[in-house]
Amino acid sequence: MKQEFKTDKTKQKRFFDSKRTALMALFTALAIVFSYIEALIPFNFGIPGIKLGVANIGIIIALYILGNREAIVINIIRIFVISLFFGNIYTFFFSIVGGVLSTVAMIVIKKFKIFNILSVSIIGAVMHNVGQLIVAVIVVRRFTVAFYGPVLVIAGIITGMLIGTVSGIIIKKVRLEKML
Amino acid sequence: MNKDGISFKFNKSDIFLVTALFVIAIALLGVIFITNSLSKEGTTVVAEVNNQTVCEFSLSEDISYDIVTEYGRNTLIIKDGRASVSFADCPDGICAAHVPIYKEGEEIICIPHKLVIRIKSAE
Repeated sequence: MKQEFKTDKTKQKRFFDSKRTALMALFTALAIVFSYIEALIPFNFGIPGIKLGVANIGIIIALYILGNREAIVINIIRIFVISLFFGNIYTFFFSIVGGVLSTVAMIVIKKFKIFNILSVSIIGAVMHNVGQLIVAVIVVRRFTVAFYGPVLVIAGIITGMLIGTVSGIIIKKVRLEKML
Repeated sequence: MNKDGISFKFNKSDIFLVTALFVIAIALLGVIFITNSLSKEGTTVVAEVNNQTVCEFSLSEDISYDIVTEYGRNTLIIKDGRASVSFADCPDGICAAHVPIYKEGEEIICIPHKLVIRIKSAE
């Protein structure tokens, strides 16, 4: 009973911690800015539907420094704001399915504790592409769209590795967890 | 691996994960390419919006046709027995960048306009 009360209190403390709240707002702003920069300067690899996914840097850092719940909330807020400014209802559905699937997959992979940050990022990128492809199949109501999947998986491995490396370097060098 | 779990070193599990993903993708790609190269040339091109046929042309005649729907406009052209999209008013223009199609079952898909251009045989 005593134990239960204690965990409840720490949970409350965690939820109302102002430093944590401020850091969450900071990461949300960062992720939105990353999305905006990517929309301004599209890193095109010459293959349609493929982008670097710079916004995922913010999500991965939040995942490692703040926690699972925070990462998923930050991603949902980012997608909502970005869709409100630059997209429409269709781009919102594409983004939200890809984003949520990607974040959940990263949380699951990270929970195993046997995968490094590159694998977490790769799974995030691949599952983002898979999520968007699922929406595409539903929108055009044709399974043949899924034939584009293998290309997107390979692209996800490459972009995920790049984004994972950058995120890892930032987490190691900046030591944001000392702010908590 | 340090306590944060942030390491760039590839463990066995990481190598297994990435290799598995890569092998699955390459295998699927191979299957798609082989089935595509085995399929024979089609005779007609069909344009569908929301799974409903809007127009149908024979691949033997050269034409240029505007597919105008509530979602937007795409220009379908047939030249030398191959169908392609020369213009689309969607922001990405992925369908316009697609190579001309001529084999049975090949498709050009414009997701924002819900348009599918498909090659099929007459019989």
